[in-house]
Amino acid sequence: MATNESKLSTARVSRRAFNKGVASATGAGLALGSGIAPAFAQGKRELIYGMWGGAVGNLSPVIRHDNQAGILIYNIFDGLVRPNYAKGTIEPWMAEGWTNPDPLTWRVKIREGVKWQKGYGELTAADVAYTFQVHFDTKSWQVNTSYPQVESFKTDGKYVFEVKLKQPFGAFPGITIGYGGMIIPESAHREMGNDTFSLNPVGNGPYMLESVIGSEVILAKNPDYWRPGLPHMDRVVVRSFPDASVRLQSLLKGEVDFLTHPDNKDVPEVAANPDFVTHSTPGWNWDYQHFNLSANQDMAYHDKLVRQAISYAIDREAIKNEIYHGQATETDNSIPPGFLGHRESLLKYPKNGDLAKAKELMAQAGVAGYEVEVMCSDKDWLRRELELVAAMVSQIGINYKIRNLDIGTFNNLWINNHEDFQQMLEDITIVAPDPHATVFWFLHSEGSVSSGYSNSEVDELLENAMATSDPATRAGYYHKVVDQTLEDCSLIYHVNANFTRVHSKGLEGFEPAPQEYIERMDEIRWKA
Amino acid sequence: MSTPPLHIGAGDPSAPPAYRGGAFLACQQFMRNHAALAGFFILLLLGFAAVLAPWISPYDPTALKLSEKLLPPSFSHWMGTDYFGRDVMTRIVWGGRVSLSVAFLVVFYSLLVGVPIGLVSGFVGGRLDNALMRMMDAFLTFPPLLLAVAIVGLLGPDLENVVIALGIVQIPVFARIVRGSTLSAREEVYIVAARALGASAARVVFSGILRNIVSPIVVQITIVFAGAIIAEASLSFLGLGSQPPDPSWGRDLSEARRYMGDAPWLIIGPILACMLCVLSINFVGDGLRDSLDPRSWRAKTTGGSTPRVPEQVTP
Repeated sequence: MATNESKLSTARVSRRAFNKGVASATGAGLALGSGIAPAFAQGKRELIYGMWGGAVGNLSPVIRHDNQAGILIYNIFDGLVRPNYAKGTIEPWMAEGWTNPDPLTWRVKIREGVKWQKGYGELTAADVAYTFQVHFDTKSWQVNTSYPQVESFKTDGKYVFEVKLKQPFGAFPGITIGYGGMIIPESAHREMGNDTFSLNPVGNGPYMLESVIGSEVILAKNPDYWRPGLPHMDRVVVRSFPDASVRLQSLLKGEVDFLTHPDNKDVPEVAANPDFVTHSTPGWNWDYQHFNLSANQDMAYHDKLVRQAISYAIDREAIKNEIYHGQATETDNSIPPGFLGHRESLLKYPKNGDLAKAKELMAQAGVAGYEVEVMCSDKDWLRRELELVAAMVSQIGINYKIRNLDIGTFNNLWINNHEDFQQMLEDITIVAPDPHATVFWFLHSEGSVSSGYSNSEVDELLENAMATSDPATRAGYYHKVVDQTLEDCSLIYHVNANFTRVHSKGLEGFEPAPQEYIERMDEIRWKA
Repeated sequence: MSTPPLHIGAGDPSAPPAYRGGAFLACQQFMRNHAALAGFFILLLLGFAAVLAPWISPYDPTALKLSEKLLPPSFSHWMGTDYFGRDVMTRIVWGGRVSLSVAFLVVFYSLLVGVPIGLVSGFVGGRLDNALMRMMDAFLTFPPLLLAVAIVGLLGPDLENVVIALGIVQIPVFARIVRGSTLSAREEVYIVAARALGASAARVVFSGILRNIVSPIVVQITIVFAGAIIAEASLSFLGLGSQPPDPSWGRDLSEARRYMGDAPWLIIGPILACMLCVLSINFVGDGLRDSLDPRSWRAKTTGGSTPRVPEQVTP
């Protein structure tokens, strides 16, 4: 019986049809085998995105989230403002505009007609006020980072939100309604509660959360998105791969269309591959050595001459080449390119270091050598960098005893338990598009992560910069802060690392940002 | 009346076979096992290399030489160099120091605690036995490596903490083996006799039982030793053991993964060293198991050697 069916089936296929089928199958096979987007990409409206890391946790913008979640959050939510990286300005987004009628008052006009996803109504000033209130009620990290100057806030009608400040705050648009300007819908958040909302976020951005299964997140197009014609994709499948090599292999084999954070050593090779487009963008970040000055008073690093010696002993070019494989810029200061107040990446310390000067400073400090425990998180490139840095400082008699910690323990130690660590190496992504974020939190004596550094002159300069709105005046203050910190070396900066993304050449419309979180997928589309 | 002739030595066919001690026979049996012998010599070699590393290594295992990074194997660098220009061979030799020391200490600490627990549990019996064994069972329900990861996670990543973690994990293994052997040994006639003659409990346990259950303990030592080497390498691979820049087979292997395509020699060295070491220990363990088993003497020896006689216990 089976034989008969098979014969019948064969009989129905003509030779021409068979040849056509073989040709199609061969073509499809070649297209798939080449590692490029399939030939029938035309009309394709799905993107498979390869992200670093593992399972995704919190997706609510009112709970502190990790970098991976940031990528998803910045595609589910549209904030009040957005940075224009090319111009270095802050542009309207959900806030159509803002005025500053007096130094302590900011009035923000909310865009009309923006709908929350999943039928939760329209975005209004009441949602903005509610979001601010949630941050204050839950004592979220934003209270100290974005809202420290906020005295009170209220709505004025359906579309105006007014903030009263304790003192003038020149970084208001970039920080308070920029970094702290991701808004949640009051109705959905009240209905779900904070924890449920963090797993089922309702946003106003181009994509809605469809599902999270293990390390795979599916985003679906928001049909009510306020920008006509966007997003271009119907679905974005976000897959997390902890291992950079596996992530890259997935791209090369066509299992993902877009990936982030390839291993830097593979960047030159993949950049030369004509089937892919590589974006390596100088990043808003630094990796740096941080000294705990609030404890361990007997440690030699409390002497700024020793810290200067360490900075002179660092060969930043070697770090750039050996750890980042060229995908970084050497720096010795806290304000990266693209920020207000940036001058040069290297202002005082030579890119290859100056060992003689370092030894001279150690001699001046009267320190022959010492041992110190330096911790870093389990990011593999930082572990290697710390090994390299340890070898560099060993030339001036300092023995770095390396302590690798998981990221949770590491963050807890340096952010919350200042007594329990001596020194660390870390990299920081700067999310807030204003120099206030890069310096105040780390260098002001009351900054949340200053770890005991206190210089009244720096404090005064930072406070003056904060209270001024004029960009040129603010830049002048930040220049002086940077000059002082190059002298004090409470933090020793090594490089600004690039952020690298690679995608299939069949894709277009991706605008790389110097930002790890902000990888918007609304304008990405398959070429026709 | 004639005096019967005095026959001395092997020439006398009617003479009883010369008594050979258990240790001699065990050694003889071990020497006949070629795999065990080869394993023993490889282990000896690795041990010597580890002990003499500071004198025999041509390079500093932690000194960076970026101008020589990722060099393939050559006469000057037998196993090539790593991403920081460090000699891979040197790091393997020094890594052996770490692995073997950790394994030695793990065995030492787990023996120190596990053997007395097993002896007391097996000898005393009753409620104490029940309580101790349930405690050990509770430990055994956890997958050993996961338990070690949890302990190191609590104490912090460090070689000392790895020793503590792996030592704790292996305590129940020794306790269980010793308890089982003790239960059987305490019923032996010579033990019953010793107790009947009034030997103290401590004497019976240490002179009687312990001396006669050495074989399973020795075999278990080799198993735990090999396991500790793998576990240390696994923990270091995960970043929980040896801290950089100290050489470690596991950590060096972890770092080498990144260069698998560009510099495969980086991954071969630590794998070979770990494999060779563990395989040698396993061969030695197999050899010891066979040679310490009197039944295998009877089966394999010719010339009617004396079977094992339990060590005598005097009151």
